[in-house]
Amino acid sequence: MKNKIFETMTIILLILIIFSEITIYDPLNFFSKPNLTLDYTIKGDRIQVNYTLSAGYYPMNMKMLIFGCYYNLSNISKIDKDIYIYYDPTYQSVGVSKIAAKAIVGHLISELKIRRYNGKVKVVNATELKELLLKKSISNKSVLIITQGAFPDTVYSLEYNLVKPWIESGGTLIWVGDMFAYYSAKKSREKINYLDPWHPREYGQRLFFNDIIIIPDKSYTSGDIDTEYSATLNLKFDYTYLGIQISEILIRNGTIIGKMSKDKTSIGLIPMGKGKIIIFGGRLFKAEDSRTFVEDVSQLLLSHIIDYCPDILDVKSYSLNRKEILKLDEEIPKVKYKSFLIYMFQTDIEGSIFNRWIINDKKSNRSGH
Amino acid sequence: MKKDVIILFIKKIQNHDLFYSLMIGILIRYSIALYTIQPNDIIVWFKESLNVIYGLGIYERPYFAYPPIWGYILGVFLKFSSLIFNPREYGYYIKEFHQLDYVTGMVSGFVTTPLFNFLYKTPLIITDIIIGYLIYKVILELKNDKRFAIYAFNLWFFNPLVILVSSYIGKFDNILTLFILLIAIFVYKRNWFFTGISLGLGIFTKIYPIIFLPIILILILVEKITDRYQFKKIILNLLYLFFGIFLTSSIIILPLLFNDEYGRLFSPFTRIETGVGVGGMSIWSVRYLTGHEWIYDWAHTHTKFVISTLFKIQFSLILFITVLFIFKYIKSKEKLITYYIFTLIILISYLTNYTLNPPYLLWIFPLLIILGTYTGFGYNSYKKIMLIIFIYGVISTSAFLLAPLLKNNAPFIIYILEIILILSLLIRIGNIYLNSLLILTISGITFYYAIKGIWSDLAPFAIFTNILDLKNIDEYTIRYISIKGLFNNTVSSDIYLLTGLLVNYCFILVFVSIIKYLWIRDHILINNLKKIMGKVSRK
Repeated sequence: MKNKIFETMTIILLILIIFSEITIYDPLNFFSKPNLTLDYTIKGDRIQVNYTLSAGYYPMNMKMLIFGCYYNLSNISKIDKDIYIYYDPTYQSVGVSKIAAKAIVGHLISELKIRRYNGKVKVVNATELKELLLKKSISNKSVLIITQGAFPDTVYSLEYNLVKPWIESGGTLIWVGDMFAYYSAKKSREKINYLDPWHPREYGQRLFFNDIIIIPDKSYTSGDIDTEYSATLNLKFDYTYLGIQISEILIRNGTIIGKMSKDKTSIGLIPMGKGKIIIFGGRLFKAEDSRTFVEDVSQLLLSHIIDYCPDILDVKSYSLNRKEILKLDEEIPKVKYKSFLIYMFQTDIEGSIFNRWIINDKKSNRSGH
Repeated sequence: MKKDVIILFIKKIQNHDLFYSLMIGILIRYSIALYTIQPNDIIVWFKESLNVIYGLGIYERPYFAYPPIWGYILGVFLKFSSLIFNPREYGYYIKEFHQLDYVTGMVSGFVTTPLFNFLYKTPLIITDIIIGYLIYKVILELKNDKRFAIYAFNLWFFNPLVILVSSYIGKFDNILTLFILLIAIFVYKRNWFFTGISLGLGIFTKIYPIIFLPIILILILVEKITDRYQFKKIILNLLYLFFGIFLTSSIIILPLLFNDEYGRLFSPFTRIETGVGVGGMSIWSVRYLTGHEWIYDWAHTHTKFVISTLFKIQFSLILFITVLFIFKYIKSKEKLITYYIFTLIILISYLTNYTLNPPYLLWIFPLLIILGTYTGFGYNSYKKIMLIIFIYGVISTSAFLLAPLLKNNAPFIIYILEIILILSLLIRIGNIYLNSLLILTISGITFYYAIKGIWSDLAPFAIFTNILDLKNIDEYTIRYISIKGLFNNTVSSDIYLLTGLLVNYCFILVFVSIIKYLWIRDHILINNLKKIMGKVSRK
């Protein structure tokens, strides 16, 4: 035995690894998992919702949101739009580091999978982006996320703009990074030349909005005033130094989604034709910044506040202890809405429990995960 | 009866040669571990742990950019601990750090609690103990002298860089060090099955140990070829090796396959997409010299060229070492050469890497300690090494803590530290391996401190005790950043440059010394070449 100490040690380490795998992936279901169930009945002009929350071995904080929807949504598996993420490392990035841009892609794909988003998620490079923007027929079922703080020169420059017509025909654009539409990125690994007259600069905003709606702050600013959306959806992105002016959002019938500083919002929505532009007001340098961005984007996409269900009807928060089971019920007045979306999510950092249900008049159409 | 057995066991442990060293070492580690964090990494370990606790796999959210072993170890420790402790109490976002984070990028705006720090650093501290014990055992076998085995254990266990990496920074490089040591031990023992298992474990901790595979294969071939062409034995040994690797790989990969997380295993390879950041203490540290900043940008935009060229150089040097090794081995059959060869290969990887961070230095420490202790040194040298390391640890820690406090005298304190660093080149204690261990340790801790100063790492101390204010941390960190260096615009650039010079000087010194041992002193290569040439001409 004395001479076998090294072998014994190695075997112990190998056993530890096997034990770790069994614990983490839990094929024997030793660690009971949390569970959410929901049922509802229609009683005249009210809907009675009964739901059960059960915690697993670990305590958890949950939030339940009920949204009123202006569309007759039938099935949760059909309402999610397709997501296109523009990411092309061969093109220049501005206001988003290469690590942060790559992190957006990785995190967004996995996050939407964990949250059981039903739309297709596809990464497009500069060439594919051009092809996508030319297909206006599917724009109203698509969300485009620009991860590199600048449109590539395949779709946007001083001379041409394929983005605006695509949005006007129904597309949703989500922007993060440097000033909106300020630069036109070239295919190059070199850093962007900020002084190059090639860039549309301030004129870029006029190309989209006919005016200047973002006046950048000279130094870092963040918003600490919550809006209804940022509070209920637990949105965390708070940079406002490149955010849209609140007054401009109000003039244009837009929506203040994110947190507010004195004159800007960290996430603002501006309608444009049949579509909309959502602008996040700050740069991303670290992978952690990207993570915050991705969590907020996922919340917007899953709750559908940006398209079908903008009205928050009810918000409930619960704190469950280990193995605790909560049985609750709720009554929703039908009022003017054609359907309702119920979204439950774990509010703990890195929570992994998410579930959604659609409620409408036709009970046979009810659906959830 | 049971009680007697337990009492006997406790007495046995108490009477062990390492008992008191172990207790003191553990005490030092935990006193540091609870209130310190490395802001950039901590958030990854914290979130990775929560993901596992909340039922996700280690790669389901893409935080973890390494092969899975550390993820598994971290996961199992935290998942079981959280059956008792509340995971909601593991960490908090700190609003006060948000602006500092944006301006300097030096804090994460996030702090973990002493409880979490205790839990996640415990496996790393256990690893330190295991490595120390293995070193003790190796020296005991090699020298059959308990005194030297205890010296060796202490050189590892009380090394400030070792303590810094596991208990302060909380990096898992010591786990990789453990597997590298095990690979070297099993190759030394010619136990190919366990070599394969250790190699598998190492590769799935960080891909790095794959660098040892060619030399292991050559050794299997050479050893038996010289034993009258025992081809069957060669095949059998190769089978043992690959079965070990296959078994370990299967165990590690299988759950990832079932959980559809296999793709993330290869995430380290996609680093080429974001461009390499050359620097650290590698030879690229020359980029920190004022006026040479272009080197970083150039390497970043020529990532493919840089990586492929470095790989070619690395491959050629390893080939050279392999050839050298074959000739040496044919003559002497000295098993101890294994440790020399492993040291050389790690040195080559250091010299040809695009970056080198302080935790990486740990990989070579056990080998330097083994070679240094085996080569022989006296009690006085041992005492001096321990004393210098201790004094330097105190000086450098005090300098980085004090500099931002003493506004006007800050540069003066740092200049003294820089001069001490330069003077360390003159140190000659023990033998070349221990001398290098000393200089690498000094350089490693200074480099780490220089990145952000010490204050930003003390965030948990400020939050969970009332001794320090967060505003002070904020202020001292910004003050530290603005201290001018002796040769460059910033202190950190100065120290990066100096420590880069020191460590590469040590690498080359040890490299040349081993080559001399393997080649020039014994004229092995020349003699063998002559023999071969003679045989060829006779034919």
